[in-house]
Amino acid sequence: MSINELIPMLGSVLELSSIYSIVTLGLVFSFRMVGFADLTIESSFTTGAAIYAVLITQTSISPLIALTLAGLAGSVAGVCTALLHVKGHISRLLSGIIMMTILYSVNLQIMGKGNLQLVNTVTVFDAIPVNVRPFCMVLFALLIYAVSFLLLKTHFGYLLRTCGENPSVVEKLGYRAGGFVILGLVISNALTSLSGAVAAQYYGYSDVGMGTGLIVAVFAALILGESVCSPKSIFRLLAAAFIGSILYRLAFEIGLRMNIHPWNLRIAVGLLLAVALVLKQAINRKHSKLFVGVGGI
Amino acid sequence: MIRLENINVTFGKGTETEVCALDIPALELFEGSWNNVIGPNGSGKSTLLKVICGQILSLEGKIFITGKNITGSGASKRFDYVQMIEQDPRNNTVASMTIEENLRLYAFRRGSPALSFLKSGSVAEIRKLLARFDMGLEDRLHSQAGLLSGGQRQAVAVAAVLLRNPKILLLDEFTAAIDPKTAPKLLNIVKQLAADFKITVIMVSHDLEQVINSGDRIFILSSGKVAEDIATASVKITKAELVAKYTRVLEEEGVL
Repeated sequence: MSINELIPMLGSVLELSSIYSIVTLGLVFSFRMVGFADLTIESSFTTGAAIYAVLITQTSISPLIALTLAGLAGSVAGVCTALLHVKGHISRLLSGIIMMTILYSVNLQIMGKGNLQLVNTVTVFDAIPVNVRPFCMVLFALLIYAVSFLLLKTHFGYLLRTCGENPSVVEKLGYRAGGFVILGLVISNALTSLSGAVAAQYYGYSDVGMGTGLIVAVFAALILGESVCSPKSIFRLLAAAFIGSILYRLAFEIGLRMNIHPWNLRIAVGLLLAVALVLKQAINRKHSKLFVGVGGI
Repeated sequence: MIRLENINVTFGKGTETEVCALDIPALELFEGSWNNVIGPNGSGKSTLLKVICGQILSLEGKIFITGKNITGSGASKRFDYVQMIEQDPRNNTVASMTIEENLRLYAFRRGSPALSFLKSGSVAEIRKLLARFDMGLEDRLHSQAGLLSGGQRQAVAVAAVLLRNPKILLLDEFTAAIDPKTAPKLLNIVKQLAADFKITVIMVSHDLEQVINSGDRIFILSSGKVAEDIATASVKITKAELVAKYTRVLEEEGVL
């Protein structure tokens, strides 16, 4: 690969991993903090894209407001999933699956069709020169990571973590664990749909199948990151999520350039996740400090 | 301080597996008193604790705490003034958090802004409290709770729970999973701290040695009822006498 090919590749790696790193951050909130492996994100990612696309093509709302509304839509999805589990006593797995299924149709209704093009629309990227774009997007992602870090260091953040690691303690502190499950899923789905809305602007369209395979990709990114940067503290956990997103995207782009047949892409992703898990467990055994958050995987 | 009126807890009512777990017409525990509860398995000891802390809400009767009827209030509200320590040292602490973080988590009062950072209050106070346990925990503030031994972790649980200034402390065989050397040490510290802060304590135990000359009363439960109520504050009872009473209860129940 020549330098002329490498630089754009690195640029697109940085851009796409910045976008998807927000979803990985959402996974940290839903899975590592609250212990909820939430499949809703496969659809709420698309919900963000769909809401953004519809608002931007059919109204004159500014991109920033449209982005905010897309994020809010995700949080509504998160509330629904959480309520299914907390009030309906449906298992976490099924709650996520049910919402993922329902949202798929909702997304179609929002867009009115399967694919909505964003032609001649204003995007948040317009003001940024193309060669600086990767760095701006990395900065944007890091800003969101920084806010999340501060949030996790507050009393609220510790309670969120307690809810996943040891729910009985939450009750002994006078709170109801269900409330934190709801808030955890609100945050994670809001981040996911925000990311979806940015992705829509990046790709130039919103498609109902955009989120398919997202949960595996995002898990792979998180595990990959954690095997490289063991999450012994909240800072390292977030660093792992970000680094893992970049590594995953890098592996993906290299895979694409290695002429892997598109049919075999899922084999590659699956193998990557398996390798990441094996690596992480091998490294795990060497550590004498407990990892932050809900473990198991 | 704690008054129970006509409490009846029955599981599986109307079915063939109906069992009355607790049946107490009247019980009053006084403020700052240390009450021991012993009895065979299934006698209602844990049920009694769960009824007081609100983990069992489907019952008949009324519960009063300092004169207020709290029968309907749920567990998370009751944990404002009641605290419970169970047998499993993992129940009350978060494994990946350090001793200091666990204590600060418990010290935070509801009503304070949730978005404040965890560090509030001096480290010196936490060190002083931990030093009373005489386990060297005050020098290990940055050790994660999950890496401590059972006894150490239970000690952290006691310290954490006491930071919430509970009026009532429920102990459900809390030394059962700790080694025999650490257990009496821990129990003594809880007794001192309970006396210092005038906490009303109900301790469930299977260990007659533990209850024999400690506290104000010993209750022997049998089949959900209070079979014996021994006021040890006024009448000193020997171990032999206690064993005799306990044996009689077991015989009456048909266990022996």
